[in-house]
Amino acid sequence: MSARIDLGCSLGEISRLNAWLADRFSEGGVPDKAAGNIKLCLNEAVTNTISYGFPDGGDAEIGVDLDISDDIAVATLVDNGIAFNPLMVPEAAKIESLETAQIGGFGVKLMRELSASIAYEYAGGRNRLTMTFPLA
Amino acid sequence: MNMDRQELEGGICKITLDGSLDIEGASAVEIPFNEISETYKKVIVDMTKVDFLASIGIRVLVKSAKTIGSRGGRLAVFNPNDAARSVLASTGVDSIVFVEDDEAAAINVVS
Repeated sequence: MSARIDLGCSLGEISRLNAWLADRFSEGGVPDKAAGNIKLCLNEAVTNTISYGFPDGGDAEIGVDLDISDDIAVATLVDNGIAFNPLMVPEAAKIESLETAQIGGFGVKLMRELSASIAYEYAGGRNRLTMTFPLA
Repeated sequence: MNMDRQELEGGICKITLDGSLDIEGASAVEIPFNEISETYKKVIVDMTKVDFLASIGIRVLVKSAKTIGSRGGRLAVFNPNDAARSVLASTGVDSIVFVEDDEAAAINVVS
C-alpha cells in the first residue's frame, strides 16, 4: 500500500497527519508497536520542518509518503524548506543530573533509535528524509 | 488533551493527563505545568490515559523536573504505557524523572 498526504505549514497539521496515519495503519494491518514508532518519528520530523523549515514563510510544500509492504514500512518526508539535515543535529547529551539536563534535543535521538534506518538527501530544492521500520 | 489537578495530603499535587502529549497536547499543558512546578515541591503525574508521548512532551516533563528540583522537590510520573515508558528510557529522562508503576509508589517517592 502506498499513500501520500500533503500538509500545510502550521503545527495544527500534525493532528491531521496523525489521524491520516491511524487510518493507513489500520488499512495496512501495521502492528501497534511499529505504528507507534512510525507515528513518533514522523511527528518529530514534521514538527522540525514546520518549526524551522520556512523562516521566511513562502509557499511551503510538505508531503509525507507511506509505503507499507509485508515486512517493512517506508516513511518519507519531502519538503521545499531550507536545507536541513536532522542527522547533523547533535543528539542531546546523555542526561546526568537535573541541573545539567538539556530541555530539548530529544527528537532526533528518538528518530535514530526507533527507525531501522534513516537517510537524508537534499536535491532539486527539496529535503528528503527516508526512514524504514520493520513490520515482521 | 485534558489536564486535571488535585491537591493530596502532604502538599502533593497530582496531575492527571488524558490524551496525546504531541505538539498540540504539550502546548495545552505547558503553562499550567509551569505554574504547578513553581508552586509545589511534590508533584505526581498520572500517565495512565496518555496514549502518545513525543519529544515535545518530554520537554515539558524535563523542564518541570528541573524547576521542581531546583527548589528541592521531586517529580514522579506513574503508569505510563509501554511506548511512553520506552520513550522515557531512550531519552534518559527516567534518570531525572521518577517513573513509577502506580500512584502509591509515586506518592512514596516524592514524599
